[in-house]
Amino acid sequence: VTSLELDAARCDGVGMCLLVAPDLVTLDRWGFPVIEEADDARGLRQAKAAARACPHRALRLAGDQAAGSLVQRT
Amino acid sequence: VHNVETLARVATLTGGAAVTTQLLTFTTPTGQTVVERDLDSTLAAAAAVAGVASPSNVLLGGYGGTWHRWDSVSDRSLRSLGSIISAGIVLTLPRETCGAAVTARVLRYLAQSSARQCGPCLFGLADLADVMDRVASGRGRRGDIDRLQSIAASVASRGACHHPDGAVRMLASALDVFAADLANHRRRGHCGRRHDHIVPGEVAA
Repeated sequence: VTSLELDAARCDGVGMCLLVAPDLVTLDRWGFPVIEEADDARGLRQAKAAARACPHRALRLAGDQAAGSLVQRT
Repeated sequence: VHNVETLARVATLTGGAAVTTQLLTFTTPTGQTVVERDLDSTLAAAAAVAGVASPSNVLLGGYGGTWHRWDSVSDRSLRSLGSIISAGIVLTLPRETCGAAVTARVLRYLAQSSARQCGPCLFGLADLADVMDRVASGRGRRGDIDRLQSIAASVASRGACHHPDGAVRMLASALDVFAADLANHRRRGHCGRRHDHIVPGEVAA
């Protein structure tokens, strides 16, 4: 299972994650991300992209893939 | 929490003594009284020692705690109420006072106390206080109770700390305990009770 870990204190609701990871991210009523899980390659691609795209580095890869050698920027 | 009650308790434990008492801070519109009672005594007995008149309802465990009907907890021992009483802060609601109004003010206080780091807390607690405030002051709109529950669901477990979780826990218990008052506010605009109750810590707007 691929997921994203959100550091809520860093997140300012910029919304880049929604653009690059539409399958993993929905926005709440104030525009802050709510993270869903995924278990396919597409989800993993999107999770990595979202972690890279966040201007506040509020997202990082979590779940099964986080422990591997995949790109993980925190 | 480094309040005086906790530090007193730590000193007792360090001395090797067994803990057989509970420190309670009774908070009323006229001030606060701290009493120390045996864990086997009832909440009602502790309130009597503090000189607190029998309230209609009580908020146990501080502003992030839970509302209870006085009759449902007054005869229980402090030991059995342990995790509910938590840090020992007890806000008693006088019988003539509106619980919805007090809940609105506690929510406003909690919103103002936000560290403003996480969006759901920063915006969510303010929204909850706004909706509760208009419900309590008779300006509620259709669906406001559902709206409170929906906003609360968007706030719960979303912060980096548990400050917002305490606020929604308190709100959930208020919607239950004050259901009749809230229905009266909706139908008649007022519950007939007093709305001028000052909540300790509250910042004047």
